[in-house]
Amino acid sequence: MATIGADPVPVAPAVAKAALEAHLSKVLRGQSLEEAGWVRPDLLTLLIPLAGQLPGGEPDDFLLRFHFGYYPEWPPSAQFVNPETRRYTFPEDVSWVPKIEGTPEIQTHTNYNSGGQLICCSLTLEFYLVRHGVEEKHLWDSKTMNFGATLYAIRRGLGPQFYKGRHR
Amino acid sequence: MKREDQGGGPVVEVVYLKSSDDAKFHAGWDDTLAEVWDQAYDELGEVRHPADVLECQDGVSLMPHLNLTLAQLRDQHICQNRKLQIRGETGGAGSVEI
Repeated sequence: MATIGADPVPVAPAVAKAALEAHLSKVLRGQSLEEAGWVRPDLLTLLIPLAGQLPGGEPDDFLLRFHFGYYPEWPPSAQFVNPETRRYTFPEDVSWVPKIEGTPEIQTHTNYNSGGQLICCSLTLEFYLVRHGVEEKHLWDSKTMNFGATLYAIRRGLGPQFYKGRHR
Repeated sequence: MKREDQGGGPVVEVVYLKSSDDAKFHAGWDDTLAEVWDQAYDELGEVRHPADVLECQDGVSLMPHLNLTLAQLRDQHICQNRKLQIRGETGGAGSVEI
């Protein structure tokens, strides 16, 4: 379970895989990966298409990559990636990162403290890796949470209230 | 006791977004949203967390309406389908750097 000031530690791949598979069917709510449009390129990675919605505009497509190397003790790694390379490289791929602003709950950075992309939300691994400040009530709790919480928080940020277009 | 009297009361559906668990149960038209929220935790087997918020499943916050009864929500066209979700607030841009 995440604690304030602790450094995330990877878990054994078998543990992470078992947790992911236990949670996958719940998060998919009866859908298959294919039906949801998700891809699992390896045992600990999910690629999830998402769309940002500007008020009155056409949706902008994004690809979210979850990696579960520290899961479930810590939240999944979450990065928006270039859909062709399935990677994120700064500065070439900044336009594949949505700009999320106007809420204290989540924000996106294309090169946070010169360390790369950060989806600044207490339900992503990177938030803890950069030792971002956090209140105890917002900590990742592996006993009650799964990656569906992370996905919902990011989807919420992509709604018309907070999505501000692509990073440039 | 109260629930025995509710026989055909309105059905409430709730999703606990932290874990993707869900529950469906009967409530009473005279139950306040706060009471229904409490019942939802019982049905889900969860306990309330300080950062939890109650929303309609379209994402609209129901926190300003916790004192309204289900009948009042129906009459005021607020989350009329009674499909609710509980999410936890997250920390992020508003957190203090350490």
